[in-house]
Amino acid sequence: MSSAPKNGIERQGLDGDFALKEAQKSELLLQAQLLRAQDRGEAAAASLAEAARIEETLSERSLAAGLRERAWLHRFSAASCWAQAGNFYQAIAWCDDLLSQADLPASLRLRVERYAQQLRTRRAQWYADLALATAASDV
Amino acid sequence: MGVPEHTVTEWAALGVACILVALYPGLKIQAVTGQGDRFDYWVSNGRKDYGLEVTGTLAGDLESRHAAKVQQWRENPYGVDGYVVSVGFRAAIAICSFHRFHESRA
Repeated sequence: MSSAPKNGIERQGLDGDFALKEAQKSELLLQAQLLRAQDRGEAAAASLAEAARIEETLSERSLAAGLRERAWLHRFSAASCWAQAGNFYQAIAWCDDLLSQADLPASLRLRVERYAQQLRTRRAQWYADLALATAASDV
Repeated sequence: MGVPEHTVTEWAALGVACILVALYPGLKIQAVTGQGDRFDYWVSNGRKDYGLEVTGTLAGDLESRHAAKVQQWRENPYGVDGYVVSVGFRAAIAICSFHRFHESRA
């Protein structure tokens, strides 16, 4: 095995409160999984929206600490949380924000591009279904 | 409400993984990952975070399951190095391996 330093995401300069917020976010994500398994979609969406807002804060704090890679990670997680909460608009906005970063690593760029495309496709399907359902109820 | 058997197995495997990553590389679980991140947890030594994928099984071929999880971990979008822990409960065996993202893609 190589003795080269391991490649990880830096966290130097982040305080205990940051770790506390990470723990809160993790708890909300696990809670949302459990709520979805119990068919409690509304409560799951509320947990995911709260997790998304925490991820946005973590992203900003990472950026302020000069940890850009970490900021991107939390921003993409915020996008994922918003999408799962049903807010496609905010999810796609964060994806587009990430894609505008010239130095975003290729593997993350590819993942974000694919994710944004999936969200746009789903949103178009959802609009079409909604229009159909609305038209049917108007008859 | 009852908890499905596979969920209990995954939780038990997570318990074993927490001990293994604390004992050998000296890491602790820092956070849950997001949907589609290709591994389950972020683990940290306080300076850097790495990926951790955990799986557990009651029976079956642990080595092939571990290999499949390593393959899954290789698809992580962050390019970080990380660990894969697989636990076989019937055989009472655990595999804990470290992987470098860039070497793994060669």
